[in-house]
Amino acid sequence: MKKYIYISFFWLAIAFSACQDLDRDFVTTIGRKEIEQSFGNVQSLLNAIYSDIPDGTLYIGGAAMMSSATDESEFTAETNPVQSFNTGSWNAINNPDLVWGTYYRGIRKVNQFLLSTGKINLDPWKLDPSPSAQSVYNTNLATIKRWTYEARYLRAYFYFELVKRYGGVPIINNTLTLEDDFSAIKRNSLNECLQFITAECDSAATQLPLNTSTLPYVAATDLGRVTKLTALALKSRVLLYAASDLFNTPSWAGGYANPELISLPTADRSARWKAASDAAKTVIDASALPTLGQYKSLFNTFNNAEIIFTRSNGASNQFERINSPIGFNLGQSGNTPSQDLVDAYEVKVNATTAVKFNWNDPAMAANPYANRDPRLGFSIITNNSSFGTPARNVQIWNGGLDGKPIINASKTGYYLRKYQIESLNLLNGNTGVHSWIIFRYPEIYLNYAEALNEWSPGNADIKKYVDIVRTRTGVAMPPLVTGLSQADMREKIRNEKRVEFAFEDHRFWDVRRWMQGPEYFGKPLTGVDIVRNADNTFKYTPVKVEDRAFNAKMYLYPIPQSDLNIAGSLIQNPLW
Amino acid sequence: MTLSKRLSAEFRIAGSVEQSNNPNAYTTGGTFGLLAQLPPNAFPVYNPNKTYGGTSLYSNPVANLLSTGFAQNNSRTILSSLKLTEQLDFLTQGLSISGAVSINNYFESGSRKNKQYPRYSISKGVAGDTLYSPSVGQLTSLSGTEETLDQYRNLIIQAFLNYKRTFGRSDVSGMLMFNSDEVTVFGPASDPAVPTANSTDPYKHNGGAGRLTYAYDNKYIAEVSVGYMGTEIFAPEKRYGFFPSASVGWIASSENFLKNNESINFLKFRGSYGLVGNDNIVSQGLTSRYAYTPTFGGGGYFFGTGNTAVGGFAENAIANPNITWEKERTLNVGVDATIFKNLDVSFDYFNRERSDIVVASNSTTPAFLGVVTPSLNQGKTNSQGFDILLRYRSNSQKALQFFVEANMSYFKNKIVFNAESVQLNTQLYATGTSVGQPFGLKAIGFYSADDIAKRLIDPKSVPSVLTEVIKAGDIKYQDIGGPEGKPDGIIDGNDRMMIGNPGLPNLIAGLNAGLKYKSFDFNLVFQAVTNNTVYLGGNYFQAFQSNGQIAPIALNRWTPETANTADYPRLSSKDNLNNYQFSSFWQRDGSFIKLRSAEIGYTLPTALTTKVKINTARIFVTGTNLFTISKIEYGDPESLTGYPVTRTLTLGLKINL
Repeated sequence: MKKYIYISFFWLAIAFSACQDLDRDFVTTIGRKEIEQSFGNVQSLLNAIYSDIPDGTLYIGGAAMMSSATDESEFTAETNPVQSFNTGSWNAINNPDLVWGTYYRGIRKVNQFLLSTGKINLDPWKLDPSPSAQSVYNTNLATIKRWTYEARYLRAYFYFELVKRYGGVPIINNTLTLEDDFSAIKRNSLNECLQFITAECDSAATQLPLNTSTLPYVAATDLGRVTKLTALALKSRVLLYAASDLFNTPSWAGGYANPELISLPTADRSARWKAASDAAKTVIDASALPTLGQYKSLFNTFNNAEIIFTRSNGASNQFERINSPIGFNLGQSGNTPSQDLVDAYEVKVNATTAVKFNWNDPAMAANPYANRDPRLGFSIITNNSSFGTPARNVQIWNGGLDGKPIINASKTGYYLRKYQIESLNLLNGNTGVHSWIIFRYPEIYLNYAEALNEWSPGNADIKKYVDIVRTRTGVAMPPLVTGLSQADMREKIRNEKRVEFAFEDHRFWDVRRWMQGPEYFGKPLTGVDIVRNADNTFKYTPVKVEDRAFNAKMYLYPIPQSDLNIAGSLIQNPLW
Repeated sequence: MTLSKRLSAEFRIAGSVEQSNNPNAYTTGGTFGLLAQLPPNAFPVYNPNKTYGGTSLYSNPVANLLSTGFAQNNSRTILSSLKLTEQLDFLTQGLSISGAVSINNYFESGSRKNKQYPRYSISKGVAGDTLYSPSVGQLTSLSGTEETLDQYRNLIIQAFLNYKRTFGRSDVSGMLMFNSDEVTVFGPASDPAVPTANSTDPYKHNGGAGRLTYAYDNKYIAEVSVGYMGTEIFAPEKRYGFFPSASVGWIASSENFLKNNESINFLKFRGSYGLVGNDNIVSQGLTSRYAYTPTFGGGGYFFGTGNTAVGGFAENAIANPNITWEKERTLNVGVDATIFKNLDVSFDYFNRERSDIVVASNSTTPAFLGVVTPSLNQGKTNSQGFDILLRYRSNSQKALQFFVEANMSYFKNKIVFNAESVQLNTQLYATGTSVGQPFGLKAIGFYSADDIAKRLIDPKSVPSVLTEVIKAGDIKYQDIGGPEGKPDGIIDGNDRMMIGNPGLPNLIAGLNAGLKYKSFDFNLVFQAVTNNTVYLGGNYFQAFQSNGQIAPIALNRWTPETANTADYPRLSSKDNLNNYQFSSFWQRDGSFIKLRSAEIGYTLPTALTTKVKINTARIFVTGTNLFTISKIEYGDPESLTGYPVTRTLTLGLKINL
């Protein structure tokens, strides 16, 4: 009998020993713990934060630029979501520029990165008493410290990208988990957000090298990193926005119950303008100023002294495919500049005089692209100008190779030249690097001039810095005349910003902060109708391209409806 | 094999080797797709000079089968198991214990011999001579690749404790089982051409189950069973699921008050309620097999004067350590009865509540969380329905015997919760609709010449699909929603709504009848389905689209003359983005009644057959899919495109020696 009981136990033993371990046989992925141990892997975490910096070249729907949501251009494909901005059909559910989640993703990466930097295992060097190991240890310690400031700057930059769209947003500087109570998350006031951003800029500026050629940065490997100048430049932009009308005029919101979310507390505007001009002057005084070089080639490079910070990309020719004129191989017309923008480029009468373009002047109207600010030709393909590889003159006249009535030909009578690397032969599959410049010196100069003109009109520095931009190499527009009134100077500065920074994603925000939305974005967009005469001359007639919609609520973006539904404490922006 | 008085062993082994040969470029779908697309006048199969016809646009279907080499698939299967059973009668009568191990292996290799053929299109020269185009494709020599197509390796270890005993009128049986299995799959699920480290990570389960059945006097039956299952794809705390179920039965006809009833011969009521689990959620849209572990990847950038690429580590979808079994609660109640001796009736009602279905978490996690959110066990569906079966069987003693069986099943299902993202057009929410409900544009006739004239003045007065120049005779769609939730003069994704029914019919009925008279027998199977919608897509129905041909469905197309009677949009020689949108225009009622099979047979007289030492011999004719009644004029609702439903007619002779 006993024997059988033993046999039974034997069976049971077999059964239970067969009970296998249900853990994975092998782990194929690397987890946070493994990443945080290693110096090199944590650096890769930082690289991934850099990759969240926006690229404005193929921005909306993988094709359109933000310029096509402004009076700068019209995107040719009607199906691109950017058209919602122009028809006014964007809202809390449908927003073509839906970056709310994107930037919070970047912010989350930074929050986690700042925890990871404390966990890197440097013991192999720390515990090795040899001088070389100790030197590596100290360098690595310093590098890790520098990384934290690069990351914190980038987080501040992401916050500002949110703030300029949404006003005050929730400042989330811890890593949220699924267990957190999302309904407790509230928007911080605009003032809190801007103070947080400028404070982060200040601390980054004190800790980071001046530029990417300043040790410990070495340009060969570190070009493109955040520097002291980058941090100061962001601060300059932030304080300029803070001083501008939009954030100081809550009345547009029509009695909105939470003005602190969309405007700053009432205070002395002059002090705000002064803070803005001081911030710009700090950038100017931080180092020797570069000579502003050729305008056209600036947008085909990522290595130029004028550039303070740029978003780097791999080589591609997608931008050329999207934006080449329709008659060129693989061209799709893309973002086509408007007549409104073309008209903003001044006419150079002589070495000292430049005047506004005027269609009523028969000489100008007959030959509208003669004697214009050279930046027109650098940024925009006008009719019968040469383009591309292999090069030919672009025929935008009615019946021309690139003009109506060809399907998807430019609706405005112009094509985009800025950023296009014209030497690429698309049929051969040539590619080039398209970097997206985020800060360059002329912005700082114009920030300085704009702010100074508001609190200290007549200051000699105003004209000085606008002229540096106007008279840059290869542009050489006549300097501004002396003795302009404050209002005239304001107009000049705004126009300079418009032409110098066309297509660089400034217009959308500048018009909003100047509160000129109805004036520029609420009127029909214009283009030009081109007829070729029998003698091969052309007749140019301005025409309406399409109606554009703008109303007050569009000064800020609506908070996404899905997040409002989930996080009940979030408050929607005015009038949405 | 009996090893001792109490111990027995059973060893099974089975194996198979299969080999198949196919033309290399042959796939059923591809071949029928090409046949559907090819315009009949595109090119001759063979040119006058015996080369293959074809153009740069179309390949030659005959040449594809004959001149592209061949693919040989070779698969080997071996299944083996060893089971030892020991009677434990010395402990208590009716108890036994057994253990089993099985090892199963499958391997399929492919031997692919590739070649290409040149094809030439011909045209007529000025003098009426035949001109040959430059060749499309080159004649190549046969090149070969040897590849692993599919394989699995599986190991199962099981142990059972069985108990079965009768005490007077009570029957008691019980079972305890332990199971541990492991399978490594390396096949189509994880594309063998691009193996990843995860490809051969084995799927593993541990489980235990128990069952206890009690029957009293063949009248009352009760059963309780439990399952406890563990899987390796969930986090340690969430691996095991407990799945109990219970059922009861009552055979009322065994009770005294019905025992000798003339009209009710048999009557049984049954009911069951249980919970089952599903861990096969990877295929249902989980990007990673291990949703409970976080992963990192992507997010590279460029630094330095050389714009040097550097790698990044970005957090992928947040890990969900709580992901666990999908569950289904099923309630079943049923009645089986035999009345008037010959009529069997059976009725079943079911209600299945699926819960914890793994779905995206759009509606519960905010975007400011800042990370791709995980799929959560949040989805819920409900399905209810019934099955009815009626069968009449004639007395088996008579010369004329027959039976008629009718069955019907019906179900209705509903998505109870789907965690959907916010939609502008509230008609697009799938929650509350049937599983598989199609959403598309609603077609409301054709544009008239008047509409086009109005459009010239104000394009938004007559809404249309963007990017296409609309002409009279194009399909017109209902404008229901714009970004503001009201008609906006543009037809786009926001104008979609529920159209038609899901493709799966929810009412299926069958009729099965048989007749036997002396030596003749006759059998019929009918099937009918309804409440389903089919879609007329692809080259058979959409004329000239994707370089296709035109089919008879387009005969009554729109022309200015037939504007009032047309039932097909105007023809366009190039792809038309307006007319061939996914819309109600191309939907049809998919109901049908089919004679699935019919058979007539004659059994030769025994007197005749015994003379040639044959026991029985029967001659028969069988036909399948003999006829269909449906509302679709131009095809079979079950297979509108691709491999067609086949009608077969078989003449047979069956001999028993």
